[in-house]
Amino acid sequence: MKYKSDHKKWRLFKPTYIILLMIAFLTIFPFYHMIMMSLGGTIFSFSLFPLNPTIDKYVYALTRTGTITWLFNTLLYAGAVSIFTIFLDSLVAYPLAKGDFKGKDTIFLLIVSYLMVPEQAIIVPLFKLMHNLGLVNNLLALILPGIISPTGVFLMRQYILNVPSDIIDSARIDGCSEVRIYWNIILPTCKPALLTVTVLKFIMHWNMFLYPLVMLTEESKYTLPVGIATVSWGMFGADWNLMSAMCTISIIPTIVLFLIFQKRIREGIVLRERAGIKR
Amino acid sequence: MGMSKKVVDALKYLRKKKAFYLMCLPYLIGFAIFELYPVVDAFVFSFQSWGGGRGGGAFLQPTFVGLNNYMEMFSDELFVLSLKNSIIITITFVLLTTAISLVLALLLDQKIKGVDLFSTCYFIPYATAPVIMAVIMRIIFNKAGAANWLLNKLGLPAINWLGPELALFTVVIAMAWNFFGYCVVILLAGLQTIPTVFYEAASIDGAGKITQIREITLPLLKPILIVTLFLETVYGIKAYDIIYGMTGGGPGFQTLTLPYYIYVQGFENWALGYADAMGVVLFFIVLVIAFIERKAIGTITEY
Repeated sequence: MKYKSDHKKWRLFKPTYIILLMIAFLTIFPFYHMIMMSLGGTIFSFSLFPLNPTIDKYVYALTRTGTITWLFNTLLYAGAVSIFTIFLDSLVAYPLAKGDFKGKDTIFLLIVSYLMVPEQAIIVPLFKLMHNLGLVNNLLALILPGIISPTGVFLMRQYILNVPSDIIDSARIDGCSEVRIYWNIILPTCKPALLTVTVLKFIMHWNMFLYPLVMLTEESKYTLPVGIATVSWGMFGADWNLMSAMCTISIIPTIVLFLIFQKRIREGIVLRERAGIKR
Repeated sequence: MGMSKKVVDALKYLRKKKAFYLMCLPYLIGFAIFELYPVVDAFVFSFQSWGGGRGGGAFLQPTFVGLNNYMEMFSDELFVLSLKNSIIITITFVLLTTAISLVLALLLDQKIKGVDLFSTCYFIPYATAPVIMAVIMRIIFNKAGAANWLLNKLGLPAINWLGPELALFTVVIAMAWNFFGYCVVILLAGLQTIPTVFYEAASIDGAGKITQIREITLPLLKPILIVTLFLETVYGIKAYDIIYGMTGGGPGFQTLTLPYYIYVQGFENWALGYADAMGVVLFFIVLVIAFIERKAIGTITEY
């Protein structure tokens, strides 16, 4: 009997694993290909590692192209957005989750309805706004709108809803002001949630393309996606090894962050997308 | 008299709830400047004709042109083509991504070993900039690239992946690569909420695996499946980054999509009014998709 059930399990699962492994291979292949090429490999010598691995292309990318400058710009942009987001989004998320005041639902609806607006639909007015504010070619043109994030508010609100109301109520009875409740109770208890939102925002903005492409017109102001995409259509584009090295440099930070926080990221995303059903 | 009492009451109320309103204020100011105002402006600009110079140079004075921008779209072959391409890309992308992610999610839900490892692996592309990986995809699908190298090893003829006939299809493959893991994660989370007692009861009744999937899993998964379909549709209709990195809209205009065309008209030709009007059209397309999604989910929960 035992033998039979084991046997059945084995037969049932074998094709499953083959499919799962095959898709996993296809998913990882572009990364493997990129790293191999960046170390000087060629298409025609597929081995686990290139025959004569070299970091020449990385040295070239870091010294002769704008990669370092772009890396710094991207770090500043994504870093600033994710840090400011924590405070601004949680500040509005707290009353939206635990406050009782008129207009609460309207405000929340207004904020999340912005998720429906495609970025291309407002790129022209936003460009003109930044132009009038004198912020074209300034990272602030990306940071300021980036901080105002419906996703951040939504997630923060969801997490704050889980904070037991008893704690907040007893603090109110003790005469604690709402701001102090926010600062002394909500922020400390929601630390993991804050971290999730920060990481999500960092990855999102590190990878952002259209806004930076439009707002930044000087090469020295580019972010990594804009710089690399632009260069890839220029004379460096033909050097596949160099392009691969540049791409590898640009995706390492988000991949590392992702692998560290992937469980939380997954939870956050599921929470966000599932919300559509319960509304 | 009654009026002033109302005002006094409102002021009293505001004062009592001051803290809450003040906490909302910073975000709402930002919202008004960077989100609400541009959205309103987007509609205003779509009735104007204006242009400007690269690098934030002088703007031409906008002039009111009524519905001209919208009328122009009908006679603009490239607009029609880009809309057509967007629709083709969206449909093929949604079909491909749904098929892959649904099958994988169902397989991963079989309580097998390594579920986390597999789903993490599928999910990794989410962490990368689509435009960056598109550059890598351009190398892979080049005539002399890895995809053809593999076909060659298998004894198959090389394919011109990014040529005029296939480029649109190749772009969809890259998009699916980028997004399917995201859908797997959402679908898998949905599957894991289905109570196992349902399956146990069904197998006592003698229902096979396929019957179980058809009779239990899919109906219960329907709301989350609709959400995934919605996300995929919007991703497809907004497709831009990957196309910029992979084909640049080419060869010719074979992979020119509506969002891409908006960028070209606005920030390469500097026809800002026209680009903006097309943006408004895109906005309404997304709105209609969202409306259909709401309706579809609404009918389910009413049961």
